[in-house]
Amino acid sequence: MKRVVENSNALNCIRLVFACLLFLALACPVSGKSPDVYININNPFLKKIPIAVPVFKGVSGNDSELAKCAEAADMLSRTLDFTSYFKLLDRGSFLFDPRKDDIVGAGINFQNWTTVGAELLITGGLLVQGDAVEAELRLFDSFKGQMLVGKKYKGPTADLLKIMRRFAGEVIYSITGERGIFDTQIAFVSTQTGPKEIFVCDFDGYDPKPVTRSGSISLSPAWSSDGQWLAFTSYARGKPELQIRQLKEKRGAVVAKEGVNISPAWFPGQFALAATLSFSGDSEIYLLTGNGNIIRRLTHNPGIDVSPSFSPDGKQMAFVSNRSGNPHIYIQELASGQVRRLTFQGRYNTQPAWSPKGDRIAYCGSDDGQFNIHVIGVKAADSVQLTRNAGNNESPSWSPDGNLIAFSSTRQGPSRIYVMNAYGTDQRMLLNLSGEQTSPRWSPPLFNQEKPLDF
Amino acid sequence: MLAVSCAVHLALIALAAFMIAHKPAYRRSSPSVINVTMVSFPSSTPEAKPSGPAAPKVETPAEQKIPKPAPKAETPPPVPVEQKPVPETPKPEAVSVAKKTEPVKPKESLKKKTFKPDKVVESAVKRIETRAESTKPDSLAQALDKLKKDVAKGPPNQAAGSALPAGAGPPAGGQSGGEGGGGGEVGTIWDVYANNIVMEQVQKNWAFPEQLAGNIQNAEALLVITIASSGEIVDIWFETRSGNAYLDESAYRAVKKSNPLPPPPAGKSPLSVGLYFTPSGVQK
Repeated sequence: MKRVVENSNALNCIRLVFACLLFLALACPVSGKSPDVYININNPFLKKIPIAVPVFKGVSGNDSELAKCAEAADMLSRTLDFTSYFKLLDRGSFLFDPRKDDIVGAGINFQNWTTVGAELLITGGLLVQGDAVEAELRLFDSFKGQMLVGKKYKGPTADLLKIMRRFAGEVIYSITGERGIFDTQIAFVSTQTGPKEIFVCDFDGYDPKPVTRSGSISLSPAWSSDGQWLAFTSYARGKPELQIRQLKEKRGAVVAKEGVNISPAWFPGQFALAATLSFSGDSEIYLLTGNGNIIRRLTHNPGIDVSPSFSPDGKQMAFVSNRSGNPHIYIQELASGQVRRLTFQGRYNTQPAWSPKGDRIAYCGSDDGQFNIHVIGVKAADSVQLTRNAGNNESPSWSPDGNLIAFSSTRQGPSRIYVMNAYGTDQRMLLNLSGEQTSPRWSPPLFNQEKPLDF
Repeated sequence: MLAVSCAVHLALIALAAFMIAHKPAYRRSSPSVINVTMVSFPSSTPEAKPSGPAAPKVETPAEQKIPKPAPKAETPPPVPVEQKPVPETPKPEAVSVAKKTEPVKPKESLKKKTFKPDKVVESAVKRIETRAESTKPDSLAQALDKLKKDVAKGPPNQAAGSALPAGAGPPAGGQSGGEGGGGGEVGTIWDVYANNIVMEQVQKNWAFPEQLAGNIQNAEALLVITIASSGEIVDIWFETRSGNAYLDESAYRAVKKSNPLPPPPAGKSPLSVGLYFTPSGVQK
């Protein structure tokens, strides 16, 4: 009889309910009791995530592969370090030889990693065969013993850095839910080859190369929001003209009106840009097509109006005007034309750069003769100074994820490009070239661009 | 066999029902405040426990002005705790642990203030011992009594809780809730333990990049941990998730890394502590 009952569906259902209740009964004594004491924890001592990136494992085990394993792990470490999200744990502090451990979840003794404080662990395996490389990379939460992301890449060994950056992007995505900056570049002005030319390097300073070889002066590079176009001021024909260039196809336009043609800034999502033109006898900001034709005049004021920077939604424009005497930053509603003054602190504020998230504007300000980078809230107008007592710091430019700011600084004598995080910490030199480097401009993500520009 | 399983199941259902029936009461009684009654030790004003809502305003300035007397008043508690177990508590572990901490603290704090350390320390130790002997068992018993009473009746507890927002409200008051109270209100020894030792250790182990805090300054995760008498964290669960995955994860890891904690004061075992994690302090 028991068997009959056991087999009945109804009783099975009841059993399920019982099982649930049992579970509840077991769970409740724990979670049902309210805590004896509550405390607040609001100030993390560590401002970076401790992560361990042990040297990768060679699959075939030959010597050249081992060298690549160390190289690749270093590349990945450096790339992650650059984001300033992570504290890369010193490999000397590891308590055992990670090469003896497995690289897949089941074979990893996570306690080895938690005891050295690694919250995250990246393991990798490389298979090098001739000029081809296969990389297997995994990110683990070492306290939960859980794999957060795992990827396999194949490519030529020359693309090892690309592979590591791609995986770094996955790591950032799994932690922040946002795509990182690993496919961005930075344009800047350099005198490495003599006169001021436009250069471009990778986001982390690698692989700098000239874009212009005019032999004259080129200034103020500006990326279009699809990263395909670069506009800049050129003195190639004696007076400041605006060059608009398609980077890959070597075509473009020139705006060479009477007077100055300077300080370009692209309109978000459109094949259009703003620039300061003085053909009317007064420096005003105009909106131009990507082909250099005037769409309309944006500012109407007898003073000087320069350095436009659009809000990410394209509804507002920050710019510099001396309408109140000294140069200060103003914001104009593009639809209504209404203008309000943003900066009141300091004697002299220029070079506004609207943050990609839209809430803040970085700028270069001076009160005591020294130039420093500040950030101000668009609404609250609460200004914070990010650099101090370190030479002149100018030309702030946000990384497209809004976490980093590139700028130029004379803190070590000649002007060089530096990067800091958006709160001013972790200031470090981006690249060390001969000559002087100025006017960095961070590109949007350059690869896997989904949205073409509206023409 | 079926009968046995039925009986067991029924018992479990009853238990479950009991827990469920009681759960709301617990929850209601402690929405965002300490559920523990503050106990005044006789060394300070004996029964200054406020029940009115005006109390916290009086309390807060006192905390700020006189933060030092509190630890003094609190150092004695371990003493009785250490003596008590002989007649009452059966757990010897807690005894030995309490012993270790006991002699060090009074010596240190007194040394700083005196010119003849030896004598003063001697007399101070004596004084503390006598005082502890005469007063502490009472206060501890009192504390336990009160706790029992509060557990028994829900609403008064709520009132007591709301009178002491310093212990749990998200603003900084929470941290001083345990340290302060020199002006008459003294937190329980467990408040002191949680607000100093637990907070310090967990905060020290908490890693949260400031870039991630940008848009979630107000996000808040509530993690509850259960601490065994040995100091080991035997259980961790989320009472409330913040909605930000990384905040939750990092909070969980911070707690994991903080295990084991220094043993909590005896008398409440296991001790459960609710930890509100917010990144509001990341950018100063």
